[in-house]
Parts: sequence; structure tokens; C-alpha cells
Amino acid sequence: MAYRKLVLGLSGCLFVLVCVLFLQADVMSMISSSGKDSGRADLIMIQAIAKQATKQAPPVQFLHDAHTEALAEQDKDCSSCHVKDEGGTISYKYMRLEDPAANRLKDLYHDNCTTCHAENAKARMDNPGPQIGECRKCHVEPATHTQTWISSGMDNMLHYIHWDSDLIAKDEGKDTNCGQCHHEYDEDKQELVYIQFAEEGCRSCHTAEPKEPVKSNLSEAFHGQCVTCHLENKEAQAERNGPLDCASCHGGPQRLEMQAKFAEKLEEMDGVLPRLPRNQPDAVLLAAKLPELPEDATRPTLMYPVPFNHELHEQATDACRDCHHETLKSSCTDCHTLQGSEQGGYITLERAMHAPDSKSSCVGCHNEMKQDPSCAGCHAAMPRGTEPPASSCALCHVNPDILAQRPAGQQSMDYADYTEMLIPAQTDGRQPAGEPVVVPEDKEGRAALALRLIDLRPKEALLIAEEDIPDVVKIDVLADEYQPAELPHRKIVMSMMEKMKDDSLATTFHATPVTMCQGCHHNSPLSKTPPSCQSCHDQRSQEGRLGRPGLLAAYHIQCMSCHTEMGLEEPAATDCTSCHKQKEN
Amino acid sequence: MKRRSFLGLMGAAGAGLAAPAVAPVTARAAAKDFRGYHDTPGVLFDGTRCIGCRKCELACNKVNSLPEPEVPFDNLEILNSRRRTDSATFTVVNKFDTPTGPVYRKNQCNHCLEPACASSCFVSAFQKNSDSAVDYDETVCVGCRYCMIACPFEIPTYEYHKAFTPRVMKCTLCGPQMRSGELRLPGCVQECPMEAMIYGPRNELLNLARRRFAAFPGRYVEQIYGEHEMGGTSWLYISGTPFSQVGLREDLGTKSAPELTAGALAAVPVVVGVWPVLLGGIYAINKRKEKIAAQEQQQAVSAALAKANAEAKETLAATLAKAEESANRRVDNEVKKAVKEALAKKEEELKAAEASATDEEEGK
Repeated sequence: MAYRKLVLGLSGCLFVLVCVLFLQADVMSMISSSGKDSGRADLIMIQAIAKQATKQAPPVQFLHDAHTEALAEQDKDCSSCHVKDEGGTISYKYMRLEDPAANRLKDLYHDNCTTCHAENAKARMDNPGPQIGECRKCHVEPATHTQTWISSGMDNMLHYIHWDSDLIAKDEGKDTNCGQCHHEYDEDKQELVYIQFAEEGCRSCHTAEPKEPVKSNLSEAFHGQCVTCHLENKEAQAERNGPLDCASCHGGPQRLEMQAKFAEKLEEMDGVLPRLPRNQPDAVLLAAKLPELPEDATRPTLMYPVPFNHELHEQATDACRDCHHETLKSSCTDCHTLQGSEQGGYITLERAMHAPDSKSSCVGCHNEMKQDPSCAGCHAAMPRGTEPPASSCALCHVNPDILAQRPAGQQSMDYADYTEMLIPAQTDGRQPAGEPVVVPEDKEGRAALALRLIDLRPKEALLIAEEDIPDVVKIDVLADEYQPAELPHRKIVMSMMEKMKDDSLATTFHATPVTMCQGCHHNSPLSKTPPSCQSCHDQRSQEGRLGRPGLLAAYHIQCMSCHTEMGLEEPAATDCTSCHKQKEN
Repeated sequence: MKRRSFLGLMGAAGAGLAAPAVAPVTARAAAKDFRGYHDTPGVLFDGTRCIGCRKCELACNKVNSLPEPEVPFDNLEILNSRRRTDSATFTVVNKFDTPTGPVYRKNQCNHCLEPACASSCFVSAFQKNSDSAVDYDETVCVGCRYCMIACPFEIPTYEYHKAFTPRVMKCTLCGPQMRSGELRLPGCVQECPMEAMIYGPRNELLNLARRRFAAFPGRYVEQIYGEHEMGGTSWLYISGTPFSQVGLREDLGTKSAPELTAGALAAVPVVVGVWPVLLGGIYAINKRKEKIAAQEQQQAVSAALAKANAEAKETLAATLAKAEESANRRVDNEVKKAVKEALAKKEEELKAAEASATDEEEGK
């Protein structure tokens, strides 16, 4: 065959080409796989050398979870690397309780890591880990992994799972197990003790740089406490032992997964989490602490006290520290005084309660709630500004004398009743000049008063009689290109009432039967028959009334922004004929 | 002249020219640092209100009697592709996908307070009008399209399809229609069903935008695009998403185009006036030098020639003198010889005569 050589040569070339391409692809995939990952929760940078005068090698990137998994395969556990103190608490540090000098620390890492890896190699493991001499397998530069971890903590559900757990031993002579984690330092006995109903959050003592007699910082305290217990459970072969890896608590995706699971669990419990057994009050009367004034000084104008439904808010928050940021032992007014104090970061009581953008203030948190699609339709369109509207003061600041005027147990069910209740408190919630309202000094008395005031609040959303709500409103003032639009007015109102039926926040704050109407009929006095839109939004062009929309825009902005905020995808904003039929001619 | 020395000269000349050109620039920059144009009209575009209905495009098309578009204005599918203005479209609405859903932004001429198109136009076809519109005068336009290159927003477009009367086309802010009383508001502003655009005094628009920021915390990126960009524009934008995500360049800086180019343009009269003189001077000096050199050479040559002539003459004279002398000597010699011979002959004759005489005498 004459072309044999040629064919052979060509196929040889082709073979080489294919090989090169494959090799190339392999190289490319290696690059992409060795590239920086999206961030690991378990990446620990071992920088023992940082304490030394001169840098000798780049820090070691230690993947904690990879090691935990590898140990589990060999039936080893945390104690292979971490030692326990005399109390049985596992140390957060590697193979030590305290940090030795830098050189010794280096030796500690080198000796123990390589010994273990060498043993692995002897046991002919697939991946024994870097051996002696392979320095650059550990000391890698530049770093190939990135660290992203999220701060973890005990939210209400996680807390509930713990104190409800049978695996955690009960406190001595009690049927709760809180004492297994919560402790206090007893100065006299010089030891940790548990005092029931005085439990504090870990963060109140274990700060980033704890002061004596607190020994461990926050992460040492958390890891020591949680990991020790989880490990003991595992050793005891309990049905659930809790996570022993980093990602379960600190990994982003894992946390989301866990939250989804918790939400499911909450659903199973009908959305109600049992309250923490700490004897916390059901209701609290929030009132400013009067500063000590000289006798002839004028009394500062005070707001009426606020009855605060503590029980309800426990359900609505993630954890106690959402409101009680540092400690549960002092009241808000201890740090947030009328004038502000250093302890309270000079945040006055007024700002602590009303700052509109802070998640820990009442107003700020309520503003957050308004972003729920059911609420956002109306509330997103309402100018929020920097202050809550003055007309809303009296919703929280109530005159306790109302109780004398109203027999106990009588609820304000209709509009007249409710406004009557608000009027004595004055619309701005301020106490009138003269003698201040006397509130009980003792905790129990105040709680009882608060509870009675809370009881006066409407239990159901208030609304005017259904037949008083216009059924279908025909908007034809601007009809030129299209037929008039027919607004299903009553249907809209009723569907919104349905959405907020079980929402106590809405029920309380939509104070009158016509408050809800203000979602659309804004800037006009509360009324069953609000003025027409045209009375403010005229048909003239926008000249001369900068910023206030003309009638056409007012309707469109109102309807469309509400639909968007409530997540109603139909009709699309640009589907004109779904609201206005095309004119026939 | 050697190349090296020429370049050296040029460098020196450049340094000399740069120094006077720099000073006016800093002076101008200082003078430009003012917050003027307060009561001129402008348009505030609120990106959180635009629903992408293309009614503004339709209105613009009608008001400016532009040709029918290929895709009708009620077709919203076109929003899926990114468009820009062209000679038959003064404004376009583009859709931008963001994590929180689609966001729309209208694009048209921003009517800069100090327009780049105007500053780049050497026939002044573009003028910033007192009613904020940047006007275009097609009667003076030479079609160089510098304006298209100068505009940082890529707005002016060209009628490439017209062979003899091409124009640069862009949004006019409905200036002509508003001046004639035909319209009270720019067409697009008038037509927007959401009042996503508001026409009014620029300072009031800035205040309005800030009032919206304050009333709706968290809704807006609290910055007004066009307040300072490129020295400020008559169109202002507020948005719920970062401006770069809705196709607005954030790298433009706050200096206006004329301010940026003032240095270069200030150098133009220098280039036009001084450089010919300078280059001409250098040329003349070079020429003169060459001329002098030639003259000197010529003188030297003629001197040399004269010298050579003189020398030649001298040699000739000497040679001639020598030749004459030798000729004379030869003549003398010949004469002497002839005389000698004659004398010898005569003596012989005398001897012979004496002998014959003797013989006669004897023979006789």
C-alpha cells in the first residue's frame, strides 16, 4: 500500500494531538480544582511562628473538618489531638492546655503532626498526610483556601432543643437541666455554682478578653462546653450527640439547612415554642427611671409607662440577647437613662426604644416586621423618616388610670371604646403637667398592672362594617385611551384583613377601624369616608407641584408598588389591559 | 543639522511652551469649583418607579416626528436585549437584572451642564441653552463626529444613511417644542404613567431626591447620579441599585469635559501661533548657517584658485625666462660657432690665397 506510511504518520500526529488536548484539559481541571474555594468554615491558620521574632515558614492551613473525618474513619476522636483539663473539659488548643514558648510550640506541632502522619503511612493509609521532609505540603504560600465562617449562637430553637433534651442530665433535685451549662462564680466558695432563675447568657462573662476570675474567652468557653458535652454523648453512644465538626455550627450552607429544619420543627409545634423556664415575667411595665432632682426643680415631662408583653416578644425574637444585649440582670433603664450614660453607650432611653433603624429598639424591630410582604404593600409606601409618627405614641404609652374607668375584663371591641381608651392618654402619650401617674414600685405590682393594660388592647383586627366598605370603585376620571378601571375595593380590603387576622402587632397598631384604610387613603384625617384622591392629586401636569404625583401617577404608583411589595406577580405592571379594558373604536 | 541636536532643540522648546500652558489650567480649575446652575431646569429619574413600559420612547418618537421603529413600542420583549440610542431613537429604556428582580433605566442625552460635545465641536454646532437643553445646529455642522467621540455617555448618533444631509441626532430635551409653547414638559416626562421622571429646577430636584432618601431609608443608593458627574448634568438619576449595575458609568469623575480638556485646548493657540514662528525660525537659522558655510567655502575656493593662478603664473614666468635664457644661450652658441666657423673659413681662405699668391708668385 502506497499511502501506508502517510496514513500511519497522520494518525500518529492525531494521537499526539489528542493526548496533548487531554493533558491540557486535565491540567486545566487541576487548576480550577486547586483554585480558591468559596470559603471554608473549618480553616484554621496555624501561626505558631507569629510569636517568634523572625518568620521561618508560611502559616499552615489546617483543615479541621478534614482531620475530624479522617480520625472518625480510624475510630479516633477529638482526644487524639485535644487534651482535657482536670475538670474534664476539652481544651480548645491543640495538644495543650496553655501556650508554651514559641519554639516549644513549634516542636509540639512538628512532633505530634508528623508522628501521627508517619504512623498513618506505616499503616498504609491512602492519604497518610504530609511526611517529614515534605515541609511545603503544610507550609503553603500563597494560601489555597479561604476562611469564611459565621458566628454561631444559641437561638431560641437551639436553646429549646437543649433544655428539652433527655440526654442532658437534670439538675440536682430539679426537673430542669439548665445548670448543666449555666453557671456563676461564687466568690466565697471560689467555685462555679448554679443558681436557678438567675441564668445568664455566656457572653455576659466570657467576653473576647475576659477579666478575672473568668478564665476562658468566648470561643474557649463555647468550644470547651459544647464540644466536651457532645463528645461525652458520642462516647456514651447517645442517639444524638450534637456536632463535633466546625461547619455544622459555623458553615453558611449548613446553618441555613439547620434553620430550615428548625422552621419545620416549629411548624410541627404549631408555631409556638415552649417558654424558657427562667421565671421571666409575662408582662413588664416600662417606665423611665426618674433622675434624682432637687426639690424645687421642675419634673421632666414624662411619657406614660408602656405595658410590654414579654411573653409575646419571646416568641417573636431569635434569642434573649436580641433585646437584652449583654446581661439579663439589669433592666433597660439601668444603662439607657433619660440623659444617657457611659454604660449604655450614651444611647438615651428614648433612642434605645425608638431608633427607627436599630434592630434592638422597639420601633426599629417593628419596622423590620413591616417588611413582611403582607404588611409591605401599605407600609413600604409610607414615608418612614427618622421618627415614628407622633400620632402613634399613645398606642404604647397608655395612662394606667384607664383601668379605673373601665371594669376589669372588658375588652375594647369597637372603635368608640378604643378611641376612648386612647384619649385620656393624650394623643402624644405625654403625661399632663402636675402630679405624675403613680406606678407600683415592686416588680410584681408593675407586672400585674402591665398585664391588665395589655388585656385592654383589641384582640381582633378592627374594621368598619363590611357593608360600609365600597364594593367596586370605578376609576374613570382619566379614561381616554382605555376604558375605566374597576377597582375591586372591598375584595382588596377584606383580603388584607384576612392576612393580618392573627397578627397581634397589626391588631394593636392598627388602632382604629379605619387605620388600615390609611394604607391607601393617606395624609387625610381618619374617616369612614375619606376625601377622593383628586382632592390632592389633580390632573394638571406636574409643573408647579414638584414631587406630588398627578392623579394618573398617584393611582399607578399606589396600585403597582403595593402589588410589587406584596409579591403579587399578576397582573404585570406593564399589562395595561388587565386593569383597563381596551377602548373599542 | 544633526538629528540629535534637532531633538534637543525641540525638547527645550516644548518645556518652554508647557510652562505657560500649565498655569492657566490650575487657575481655571479653581474658578470652576463653584456650585452654579441652581435654577436651571432638569429632570429627575427615579429608577425605583420605572416599570419599563416604553411609553416614554413612544412619546419621544411622536413629539420629535421620528420614523416608525422596527419593533413597535408595545413590544416589551425587546427589553431583553441591551439597546442604545440611534439616529431615529433619542431615548431607550433598558432592563437590568438584579438579585432583587428586574430594574429599568431610561437612557437619553443627559444635557451636561458643560457638555463635552459642545467643547469638542470646533464649529460650535452644539450650544448649552439657558433652558438646559444642549442644542444642535445642523447648518454649521461639518459632520466630523468629534461630538460622538467626546460624549462619555455615548449619546450623539449620526445619520449614516443620508449621503448628502447627514445630521448628528440626539435628545433635545424637547427644547424646540417647549420654546415654541407646543409642550410644557419634555415628551417623555409628560407621558410617564408612574411619574418616574420629574421636570423642575435642578436644585429643587436635588432636594426632592434627598427628601426621598430620608423618607424611605434603605430604598435608595443615597447618591444622585448627575449631581457632580462630568461637572453635573441636567438629567439626574436616583436608583435602588448601584449605578454601575444599571449601566451608568461611575468612573467619570466630577470634572466637566471642558475643564478636563482646557489644558490641551489652551495649548491650541500656542500650537497655532508660536510653533510656526519657532519652527520657521529654526528653519531660517539652519538655512542661514548653511548659506554662510557655502559663502565661506566659496571664498576659500576662490582664494585657493587665485593662489594657484598666481603660482602658475610665477612658474610660467620663471619657465619662460629660463627658456629664453637657454634660447639666447643657444643662439649665442650658434652665433659663436658660426662666427668661429666663419673666422676659420676666412683664415683658410686667407691661407689659401696666401698659398696661391705664393704659388703665383712662385709660379708666376
